Formats: sequence, C-alpha cells, structure tokens
Amino acid sequence: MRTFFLVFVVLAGIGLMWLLYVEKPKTPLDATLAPAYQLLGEAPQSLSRMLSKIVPVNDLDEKEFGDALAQRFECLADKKDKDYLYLNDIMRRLQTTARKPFNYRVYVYPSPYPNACALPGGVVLATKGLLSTLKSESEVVSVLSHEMGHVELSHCSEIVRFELLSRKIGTITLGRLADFAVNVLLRHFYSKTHEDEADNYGYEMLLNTMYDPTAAEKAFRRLLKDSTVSRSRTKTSPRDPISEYFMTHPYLELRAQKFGEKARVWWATHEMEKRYAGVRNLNDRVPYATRQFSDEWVNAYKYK
Amino acid sequence: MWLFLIIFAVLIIVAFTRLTKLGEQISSLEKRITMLEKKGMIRSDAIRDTSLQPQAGPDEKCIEKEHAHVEKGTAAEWTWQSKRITDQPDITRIKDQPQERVKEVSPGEEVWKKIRNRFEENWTGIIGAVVLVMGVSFIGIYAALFLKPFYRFSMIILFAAGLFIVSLVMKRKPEWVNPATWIRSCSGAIILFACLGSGWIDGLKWIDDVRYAVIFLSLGITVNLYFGFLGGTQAFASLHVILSLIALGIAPQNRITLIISGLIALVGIGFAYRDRWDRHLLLTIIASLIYHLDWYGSMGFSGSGTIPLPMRLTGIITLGTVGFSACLLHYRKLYASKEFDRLPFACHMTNWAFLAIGFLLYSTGSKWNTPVLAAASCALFLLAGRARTKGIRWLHITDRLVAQSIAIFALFTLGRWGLDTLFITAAIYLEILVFAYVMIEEGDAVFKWLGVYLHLLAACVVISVGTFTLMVSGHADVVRNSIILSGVLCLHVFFHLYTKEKPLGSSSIFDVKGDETEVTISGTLVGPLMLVVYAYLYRYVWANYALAVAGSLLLFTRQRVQSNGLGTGLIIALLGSGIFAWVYMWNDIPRVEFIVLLYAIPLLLLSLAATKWSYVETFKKFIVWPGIYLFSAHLIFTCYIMMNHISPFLPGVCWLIISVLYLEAATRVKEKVAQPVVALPVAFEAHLLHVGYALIGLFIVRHVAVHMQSELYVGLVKIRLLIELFAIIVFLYWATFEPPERIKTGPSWYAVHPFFWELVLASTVFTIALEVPVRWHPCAWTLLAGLLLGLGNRFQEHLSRMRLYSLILYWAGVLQLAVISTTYRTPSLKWADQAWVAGCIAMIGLFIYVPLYHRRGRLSEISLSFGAEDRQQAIRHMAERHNFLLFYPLFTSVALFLYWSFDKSILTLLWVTETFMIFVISIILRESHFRYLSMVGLVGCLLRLLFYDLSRSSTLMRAIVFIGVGLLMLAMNTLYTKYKERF
Repeated sequence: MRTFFLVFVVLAGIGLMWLLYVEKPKTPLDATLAPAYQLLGEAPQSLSRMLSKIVPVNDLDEKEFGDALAQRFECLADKKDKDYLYLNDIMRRLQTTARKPFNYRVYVYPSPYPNACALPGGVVLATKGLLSTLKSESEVVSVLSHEMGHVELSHCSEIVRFELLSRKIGTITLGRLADFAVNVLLRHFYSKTHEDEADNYGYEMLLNTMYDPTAAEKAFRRLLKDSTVSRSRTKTSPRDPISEYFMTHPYLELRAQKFGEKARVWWATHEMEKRYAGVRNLNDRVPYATRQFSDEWVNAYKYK
Repeated sequence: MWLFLIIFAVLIIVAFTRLTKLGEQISSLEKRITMLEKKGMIRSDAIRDTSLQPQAGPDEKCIEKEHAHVEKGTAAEWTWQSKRITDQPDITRIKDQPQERVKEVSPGEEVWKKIRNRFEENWTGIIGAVVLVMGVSFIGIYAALFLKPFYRFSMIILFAAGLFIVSLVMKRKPEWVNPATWIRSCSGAIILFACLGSGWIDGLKWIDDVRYAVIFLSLGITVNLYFGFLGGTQAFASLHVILSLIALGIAPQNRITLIISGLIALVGIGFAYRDRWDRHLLLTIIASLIYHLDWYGSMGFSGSGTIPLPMRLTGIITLGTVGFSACLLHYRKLYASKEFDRLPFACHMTNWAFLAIGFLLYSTGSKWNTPVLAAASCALFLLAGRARTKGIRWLHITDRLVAQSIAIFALFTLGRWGLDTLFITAAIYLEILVFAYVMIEEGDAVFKWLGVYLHLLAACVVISVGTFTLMVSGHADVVRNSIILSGVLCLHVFFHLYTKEKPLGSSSIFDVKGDETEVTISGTLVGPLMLVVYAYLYRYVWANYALAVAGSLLLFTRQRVQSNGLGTGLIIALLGSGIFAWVYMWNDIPRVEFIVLLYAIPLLLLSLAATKWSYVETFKKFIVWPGIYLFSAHLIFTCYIMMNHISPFLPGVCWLIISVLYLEAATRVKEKVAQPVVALPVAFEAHLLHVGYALIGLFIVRHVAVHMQSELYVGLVKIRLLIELFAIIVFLYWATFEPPERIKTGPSWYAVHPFFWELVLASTVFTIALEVPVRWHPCAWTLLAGLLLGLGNRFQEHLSRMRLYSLILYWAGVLQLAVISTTYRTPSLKWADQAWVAGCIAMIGLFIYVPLYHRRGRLSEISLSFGAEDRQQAIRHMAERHNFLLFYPLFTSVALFLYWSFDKSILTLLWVTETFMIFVISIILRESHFRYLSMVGLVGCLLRLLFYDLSRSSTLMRAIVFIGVGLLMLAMNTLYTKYKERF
C-alpha cells in the first residue's frame, strides 16, 4: 500500500512536471508577496465588516452623505460635456443591478492622468485621461463597474462609518478621528483585498451585460502601458515586501492576467456567445444602449 | 676647519677616557677618606671639603694639619692651628709635623705620587694632546704667513716626528707608556693632516698632481693606521681608522678614494681579528657606512640611475669586501657561545644593515642581481651551518635568517625578468617550503618552527595575492595563474602530509601525533587555496570535473591520514566552490538544461564523495552532514536553474518530489548499506529528513512568493490549484509515513514530523481560501469540519486532535455565515451567484454538523501531539462548556444571517423555523434547555408577529407568515407529544 502511494505521488509529480514543461506557463512577476497580503487581508476585513454591522449606520445615512458630497461636484460639473453625459448614461444603465438605493453619478475631472475613484453614496469621479487611455466602451464599463463595486460592497462607507454615525449624534470631528484611527490601523491590511473584491464585482458586471469580458484585462493592460501608472511596477523592478504591504492596489500585471484568464475560460465555455466591444461608441461618446455598431460584436473565435 | 674638527674629536675621545678614570679615582679617594673617618682621625667636614677640592694646595695641608691636631684631641686647638696654617700656606710646615704621626700616609711620597698620578691619568692625554695640536696649529698658521707651502708641510712633519721621538723616549718608562701612546697618536694625526694638506688644503698644498696627492694621503693614512695598530687597544684602533676615513672624506672624491676607504675599513676590520674587538668593529662599520653615504652625496648622485656603472661596481665590490670580511670575523671559535651575545649580534646586524644600505645605493637594477643574490643566499646559508659546528648559536640563527631574507629578496627581483607578482609569490612560497623542509630535516627546534610558520605565512600571502590578482586582472591569464596556484596547492598538501608524519613537537595549531583532535592551520589553508584556484576556473565546465577529482582525492587522503585541519579546509573549499558555482549558474550560465546538468554533476559527485569519505577518528564516526547538506543544496539549486527558465512553477514541484525521495532514502539507504566496517552514524537518516523538511519549507516559500500570483489555467483548471493539490498529497504522504523505530530516535522527529497533519490541514485551508469564491467559504469550512470530525474519530489514537480543528473550522463557518454571506454583493442575477444561497446551504450543513459533533466530538478525549498540560487543560475546559461553544454560536449566527439576508416581512417565519430546528435538536439530543430556548425564541417570534407583522406586512405576506408559523408550532406540538418522554 505504501509503495503504491509512493509510486502514485511520484508519478503524479512527474505528470504535473511534464504538463508544466509542455505548457511552459510564466508568472507576471518574478516574486511578490502582494497576493499573500491580499489573502491575509481577508481576516481583518471580516473584522471590519463586523464592526460596520454593529455600528448603527444604514444605506440611507450613506445616501445622505453621498448627496452632500455630490453637491460639491455638482456646481463644478459641465453638464453639457460629452464625456459627462456619456459616462452618466452608461452608469444609469449599470445601476439597475445595484442593491443599494443610491443615485449613481459620475463626475469628470479634467486631469490627463487615467484614474477613477468612488465616494460614499454612489459618487464616482473619473478623469478625462481615463477616457483617452481606454479604447472601448466595454473597458469604460469595466472601470465604472469596479468603482460601483466599491460602493456596493460598502468599501466607501467603511471609511466614513464613524463620521456617518457622528452626524447622527452631532459630533463630526470625533467621528472623523475614529475613522482615521481605524483606517490607519486596519486599512493597509485589506486595501488590496478591497480592490480585488471590486475587480471581481466589475468582472461579474461585465458578464451580466452584453459587453466583452476581456475588457477588464484590456483596461488593466492599457493602464499598465501608461507610463504614469506603470512606473516602478514593472517586472524588472519588483518592490520589496514592506512596500508591497503598503501598496493600496494589487499589481496591474496580476490583475490583467487574472481577468484575462477568466475571460479566456469564459469564452472557452461560451463559444456561441457574442459580446460587444464598443470602440466606436467610446470614440463618438455614444452609449451602446443608444447605438450599436455591427462590427463591434466579438465572439470566441476572435480569441482563439 | 677640518683641523679643528679633528682636534675636537680627539679631545672628546680623550676626555671621555680620562673622565672615566677620574671618576674611578674620586671614588677610591672617597673610600679611603671614609676609612680614615672610621678610625676617627679626621672630621667629616674637612673630608668633604677635601674630597670636593682635591687639587687645592691649602686643603692638602689642611689634611695634614688635621691629622696632627686630631692626635692632640682638642677642638679649640684644632681651630687655632687650622687658622694659623691657613694664614701661612707654606709646605715646609708640613714637614715640621712629627714624623711618627704621618707615617701611615707617607706624606712626601704620597703627595708626589698623587700629583704624578693625577697628571698622568687626568691631564696628560687631554691637555697634552690639545695643547700640542693647538700649538702645531698656531705654528702652522704662523708659518703659513711667512713660509712656502712645502716648508710649512715639512715643518709640520718635523713637529710630528718630534712628537713621535718624544713618545719613544717616554715609552721607556712604564709609567709614561700611556701618555707616550697618546703623543704618538697625535703625531700620526698630524702627519695625516700634513699629508692631506699637501694635496688639498690651501696654505699647505704643494702637490698639484692629484695622483701624487692621493699617494701622499695614502702614505699618511698608512702611517696613521700603523700607529693605530701600535696603539694595541680598541680605542686607538677606532680613532685612527675614523681619522683616516675623515681625512679621506675631506679630499675630493673619486673611485680611488672609495677604494682607499675600503682598504682603510679592511685594515680596521683586520685590527678586530686580534681579539673580540666588537666596539671597534662597530665603529669601523658605522664610519665606513657614513663615508659611503658622504661619498655618494658628494659625487652628486641622487638616484640609482645617475651612477655610472664603473662607480656602481666599485662601490659594490668595496662594500662586499668590507661587509663579508666583517661578517666572517664572527666565525671564529672565539665567539663560541650558547647564550645570546648582544654586542657581537648588534655588530653583526649593523654589518648586514651596512651591506643592505650600501647595495641599495649602488644597486645596478640588473636582472642578473637575482642569481647573484641567490648565490649569496646559498653561500650564507652554508656558512651559517659552520657557525653551528663552531658552537656560535646566535650567529647560526642570525645568518640563517639573513640568508633566508636574501633568498626572498632575490626572488623579489624576479620582477626584473618580467615575471608577475603571483609567480614571484609562488616562487617565494616554494623557497620557504624548501627552507622549512631542510630545517625540519635538520631538526633544529627553532628553525623547524620558524620554517613551518613562514610556510603558513607564505601560503596566506599566496592566497591573498591570488585573490587580489583575480580581482584586479579579472579573468585574464586564468589558466596560467590557476596552474601556478595549483602547483602551490599540491606542494602545500604534500608538505601538510609530510608534517603529519614528522613530529614537530607540541603546538596548539599543528597536528601532533597522539593528539588528533586539533584542527591544523596548515590543513585548513588547503581550503582557501583550492578555493582561489577554483575562483579562476569556475567558468569552465572541465574545471568542475577537475575539482571533483582533486577534491575526491583529498577527501580520501584526509580519511586515510585523519587530518582534521585538512577536513576543515575541504569543507571550506566545497562550500566556497559551491557558492562560486551557484553565482555563475545564477548569472552567467547559458540557460540550457544539458549544459547546466553537465556543469552541476561534478559538484554533486564531489558532495557524495564528501559523504562517503567522512570518517573522523576523533569522533569515532562518520561526519556526513556537510556532504549531505552540500549535495542537497547543489541539487536544489541545480533544479532551480535548470527549470526556472522553462517555467517558474517547475522547481517547486520538483522539490516536492525530491522531498519524498529523501524521506524514502532516510528509511531505505541504511538497509542497503549493510554491515559496514565502521558503523554509519546514528543521525544519518535525521540529516536526510532535515533536508526533506527544508525542501518542503522551500516549496512553501516559493508557492507563496511565486506560484500564488499566477491565475493561469491549463484547460479549465488553474495551474496553481493543481500544484496545491499535489502539495497536499505530498504532505499527506509525509504525514502518514510510519518510519522504522531507529529513525524515531532523533529530536527532529518529535519536534517537526507530528505537525505534518497540521501542514496538510493548513494547506487545505489555504487552498480553499485562495481558490474557492468567498461566498462558498462557509460551506467549505462546514464540509471540512465534518471531514475532520470523521478523521478524528476514525484515527482516535493519532488524530484525535482533528476534532478540535473541526470545531475551529465550524466556528469559522458560523462566523462567515453571519458576516461574509450577509455583506457579499453581486451584480449577477443567477441563483448560484447569490450569497444567501450558499449561506443557506452552509446553514443546513451546520445544523447537520452540530448534532454529529455533539455525539462524536468527545472533546475531553482529545490528545494533542504537542500536548503541553496547559493546552490539555484548556481542552477540558472547552469540553465542560460544550453546548455553549457548539450550539449558541450557530443559533446566533443563523438568526443574524436571516435578519441581514432576507426581507423583514418574512423574518418572523424564518426565525420560527430556526426555533423549530432548535426544538428538533433538543429532541434528538434529549437536552431540555434547548427546548426552553426554542420556546423563548418562539415567544419572541409570536410577539414580533403580533406587533410587527400585523401592522407592517401586506395582507398576503401576513397570511403566509401566519400560516407558516402556525404550521411550525403545530409540528412542534406534535413532536413534543411524541417524544416528551425524552425530556
């Protein structure tokens, strides 16, 4: 029995090695502890969620807070701007799947750097640079879904939960202090976990729409190409373990590979499906729901 | 000016001699006065006055008077008499004193003798010489104003001749011998002065032809030296030699003067052959050296390049002749002594310094200096042997060392032959090795140790130079340099083996027969030497094979001769060469598997050889661990280099397979190496197991740092998942391993191996956490908890602790059910993607698990493999709070899950369902308090039904909830009626 087990183990190992030798899979980075930190972040994140559950703050409180924030951007926003209209049109359709009772709004920030962020209460900020970096509407959806994920998964409200609570009591400063303390103590543990959760949410959103699921990978790769983002995150200059611990986001290379592989598997199991890319939609700032271009549809054969 | 200098020098020498004698006389006088004082003849005050002023006439009288008055015996009289005598300082008064009272001191003769002696001993030499020389000088100056130079010269010569005649006359009387000798010396000095002046001093110069002037000066020097010889003492000899050299120095310098100076020095050295005239020899050598320096300076030479060759050769010959003559002086039976003789030694060393400085001055820079120096070294070495036969120990030691130094210096000059530093250093090493060999063979205690220490020093220098050359010149001439260093290595090894055979005596750093525990420096240095050779060649594949052959031979030899030092050195060499090879493999080796393997095989074989030939007599066992660990390190590294470029996943998997093979080897190797001549070490298997542990540790690190980032798929399965599953199987293999009893003796077995089950569990948890979506985690933990519960029950003896881990996982499932499942959001509309679906499945699983654990958990019977008493105690406490820990978390979690996951309108129905489940559990487990709990819960639900649902729910929902609650309550009632006997 023992010998059989030994032979089995050795043969299984040799078989696995043969498979690896044939496939020759490579890793995006030489070595990194970022995924390990991300996994370890799940435990403190659970603690943080428990805390959020205990604190008597609900979605309505967050909505009020979001509305207050939105008012600040409202006066700065050019509501006739094509980008503003385009993004909010997309967001309006995405929020049909949302569980939180928020009015999701996107404000365009005039910066050349590609970036986006979510604020409590469904407020999303996106830069002009983001729209020029991304090349299709599906990629824009991927990014907006990611930001929406932060809101839906309560990542934003976790940052300000004590402030929300203190608004009820009437001592905002104390609440801000409490948030600051908790974020300093805990947030480094699970900020990468938050990003990963939001990535997953965004990807699931893509799968639940008509957009191409490979858009997530493409969006990450385009951000990676951008010199301002990819600086010091290349394979040749990996960060040290301490820097990796304090990184707020996972490596773009890893995120691109993860969702590229997921999309590849999805296409492999959905060979008959057709999905929409929307390159021209983005160029013309016309949402998919308004106009569909026939040459923007892609299928599994494109990725074979 | 020179004349005054001569006079001044003479005065100093004479004054020094005289003052010494004067001091002795004063001392003897004091003794005599003290003796008189003891006899009570004179007063101490007077004695003191007298002693302080020995030359004063009145005091002398005072002494005589004192003597007379002390006899009379009254102080008053003495005072009066004393005053009177002082007033009338007439020496005739002394004679008037009664004769019988001064008989003891013999006044007349005594005074005369004193005066004469004092004149003789204190003043004759000094004042006489000064006055005469000054007088001659004044006459010369006076004459110079009126006479022609030749007459002046003649006048001085005549004066000198006169002095000489006076000295001859004075010598007839023994008491005048000493001043006569001084006067003769003065006459010699004056003649020398005159001869010098006849050629080169204005006012005395009457010879224009330099050749004649030199001849004349030589004549003067000859006379002077002859007088020095006649002087018969070191002082005269030194004086005349120095005067001769000074006179020669005043004359314009050329080759002839240099030769003459050599002759003077030779004559001076010849004087020293009369007896042990070391002071004279020392002064002669120093004077000669000063002359050479002065000559060198006055010729206007500033560097070796500016001296014409004939001058150089003259200087060398002159120096050589003088130096070697002086050196040979000590090779006389006269110096035979076993003790250290300070003065001759100082003299001898000064002579060598003289030679060294002189040769440095006149150095030709020729490459032919090398054979000359080598020949000189050999000659001196043989000569030093004669010193030993003559019993002059210090000379033997000194000249052997000097010979050795000259030999090393000769080798240094090999640079003139175009040879580089490494070659020269190797040649010096060889020379020192020969020296050490000869010394050991001769058996001289000092020299054999000296030879061996020098040989060690030389080996260190060779290592340093070899390393430095490599750092400076890179990999140019690597083959040539490595051949040189290999030669040194071979010689070093042979010499080390030779010293093992020869008893060198007691020392803490060398192998000594009968005391094998010591680690020798000599043997240890083999390692660094090997390492330096390898550092030159590690880029060549063939070098690794050469290293393997050489290393194996040395390992075999070490075992045969049992040299611990050599063993230590070989460990250093193997480790160092391994590091070099690794650095090369890491950075530069072509990433072709075949080449890497070809490069690594010799290192692996060498490590195996280190394991095989590892018997150490000192410990009476094989020291296999260096070989095993080195072999393993090479293997691990080679696998990495070979496979990493193909795929970063390959090395980790390979390490896992190797770990299994190590585990098997730990049990099987010993069985195959049956009946060894010398027993294998007890810990042999333990080392193999340690490597196995290390391999698993390496895999874990690599998995976290490298594999974990990858999301790649092979087909529809993640590569990472495949590796994790394989790792779990391997860990399981380790965990289920039942070794033979003999392996279970090591501490590592108890410290590490029992935790492999924990490793299996941790890996499984890790895999689930990483690969399973978060919403399914509560289900996964519940399933795993159930599995562990079964495992813990099935293998109660070994794995009862699994039931504890099962409980922990159950808590994790409960917590995640309440927290994670209720906060998880997805945009997906599919049921399978919804968190509450997974939560409900987990909840069902937990409700199944809880009764099972209640019955089979048996917390109190759990035994921890790492069971400290406090941990066992904690488990007992848990067993006592069994229900609290097991059930209430679940009930709370389910209640919260229902509250946070579902609509408030059906919450009452859901909670009543939960209370129903609690009630069912109470029946199954026959626990009354769960029934009470379900009743309390039911009352709460009824209150909510009345106050919340009635007012807020829609009519339809209200109907559904009421029907549901009613049905459940009826069911509870039915069940209670049926099973009430259980409570």
